[in-house]
Amino acid sequence: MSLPSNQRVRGIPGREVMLQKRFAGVHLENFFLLVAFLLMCATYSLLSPAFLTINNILNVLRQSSVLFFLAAGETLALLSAGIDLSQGSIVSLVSVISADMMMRGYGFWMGTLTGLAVGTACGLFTGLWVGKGRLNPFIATLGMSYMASGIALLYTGGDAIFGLPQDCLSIMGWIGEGYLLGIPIPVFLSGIALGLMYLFLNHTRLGRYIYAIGGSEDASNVSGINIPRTKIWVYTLSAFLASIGGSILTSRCISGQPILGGGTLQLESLGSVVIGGTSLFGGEGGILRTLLGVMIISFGINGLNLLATSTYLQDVVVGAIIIFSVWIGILRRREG
Amino acid sequence: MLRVTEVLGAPETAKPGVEVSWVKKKFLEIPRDLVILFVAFLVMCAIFALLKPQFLNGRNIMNVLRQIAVVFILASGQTFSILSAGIDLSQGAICSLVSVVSADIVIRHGVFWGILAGLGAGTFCGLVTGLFVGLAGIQPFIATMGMIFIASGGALVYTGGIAIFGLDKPQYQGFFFPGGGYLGPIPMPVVIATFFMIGVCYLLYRTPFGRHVYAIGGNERSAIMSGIHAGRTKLFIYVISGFTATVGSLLLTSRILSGQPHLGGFPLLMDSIASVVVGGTSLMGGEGGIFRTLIGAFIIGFLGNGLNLLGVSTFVQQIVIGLIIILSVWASILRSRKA
Repeated sequence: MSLPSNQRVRGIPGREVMLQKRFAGVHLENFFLLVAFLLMCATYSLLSPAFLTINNILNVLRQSSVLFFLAAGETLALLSAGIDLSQGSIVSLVSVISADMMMRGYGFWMGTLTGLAVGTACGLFTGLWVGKGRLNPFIATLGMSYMASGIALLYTGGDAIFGLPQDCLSIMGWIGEGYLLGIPIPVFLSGIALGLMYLFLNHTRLGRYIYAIGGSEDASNVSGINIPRTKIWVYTLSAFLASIGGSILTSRCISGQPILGGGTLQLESLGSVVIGGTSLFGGEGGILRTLLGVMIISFGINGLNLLATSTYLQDVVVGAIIIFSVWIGILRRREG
Repeated sequence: MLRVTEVLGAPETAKPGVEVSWVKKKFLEIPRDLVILFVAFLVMCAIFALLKPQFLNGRNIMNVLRQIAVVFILASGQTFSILSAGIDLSQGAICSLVSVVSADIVIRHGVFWGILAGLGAGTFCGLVTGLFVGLAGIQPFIATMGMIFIASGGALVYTGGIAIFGLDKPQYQGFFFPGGGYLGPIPMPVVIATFFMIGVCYLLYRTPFGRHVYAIGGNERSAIMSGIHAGRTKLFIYVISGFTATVGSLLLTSRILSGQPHLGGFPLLMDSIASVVVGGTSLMGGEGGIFRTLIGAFIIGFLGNGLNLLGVSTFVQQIVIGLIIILSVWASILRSRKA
């Protein structure tokens, strides 16, 4: 069969059309979720007058910044069709190590830097297993979560580290409670992270490689992308972002806690990325969606708190939101 | 990929005319790495026995077996979901829910109804995840992660966060038997686990359902094209997984004689997944089997016990288990690259 080559080429949508389509698609996907989020907020503000106050909103944003840092890292892992289960344990490890360094008199900044370095090193380690050792990310990060939380517990013998030096406490208080230009510091930090992540994912080569690997690893391999190196970056960055989250959380509780990242923090991080609509199969999603997911979880829990529902019931609600948001995404894709 | 030797039996190795005894043929069918894993297990036990003679004590072994039985029962359900390229993260949370529901109903309506209510609640959770995975097409990871929040939250709501005590009264004596009793010298959980082993073997290797599980894990698309009802199979898989978690939880609840809303936290779930994975069943699905899970559960169980006897701190044990999970999977990757 001879190909009418001219027509074929003309039939392929050009770059502009593709961009338009992509923009429209993202717009529509995010639009539904945004409407759901606004509806939720409207309902809460009708039920509780305390919901729509500046104080409450700033407070929720401050709380959500830790979750946002973790979720931003998790976004990278999910976009590359991987997963990072070690974030919670890394938060614990960062907390005890930086608190211990402060106790030894190295000061706040040195302690925090050491914590960040150790946390990031954990990520580098998992990255090497996943990238070079071709280990399933689920297994590699699961193993790391055992090891990091084991080390955190071993490091302090299971105790929390209290009574940090006064100069450290004042800086921690400022980071945890303070404001910069009327914005809480943690929110300020996560705003910067949001901007950088957006630029990184959409406008740098490494960011595009992450999408490419998640879309099709074989195709990326054939087109010459260095897959092991990209994966090492993904898990290192994910751990780095989790470590920043860990440092902020440590500042907020002004102590080193070996089980700081236990509980539901890890699951909420995964959940908010998934609620935003980033696919577990990789290649689809982005940081703005994750932001929306974080907002939905944080404001959802805050509203339930204001309505004086039991904390236990909130877990049930979060679980239901995770399942249903993904289900709605699947239904929409089937229709489209 | 479907490993033919494991599912359908090895191709004929004997030359025509040469008689190979049935036992030898069966023996040759055992995959090489399973043998290596078994030898590694024996070596581990030998080292522990040399360092600590109590390790080989009859009472110690029976005690460890009792603990392993519960983990194995959970892991046997997990084997189904992992073989089908899925995962069940909700097993731990289901354990918590079943524990408080059964303890509460035992106190209010008697032992029989308590066990029945526990079985019903846990299997219902499995059914819900199964419906989400099988019919709605939600990924198992997400559906079961959502179920963690729902079931563990449900357990906490049910009791208001406190544990339920008072099962040690004489009228509830029958409730202690499944988890704490003995049949001759053998602890009851071990007897029950043996029945589960037989049942799972039958389901996995002797029924169409078992073949479908392997087929879906090997390649879901081609499984559907060859007429397998993937949705229904997945529904059953998560019902089974929920059911095994329920039975495991009932055994634990019966042993500790109280309903604990935190009974099945992270560690129990991880032991279940780790048993399957350390045994060499692939997380990509389609490859592995229940015998691997059995060895995995033995390795995890006796390793923990041996380290306990040596006085190694729980925190260090955590690090060791993490390393073993990573190394065992890495070893199987290296092997498959060579092959």
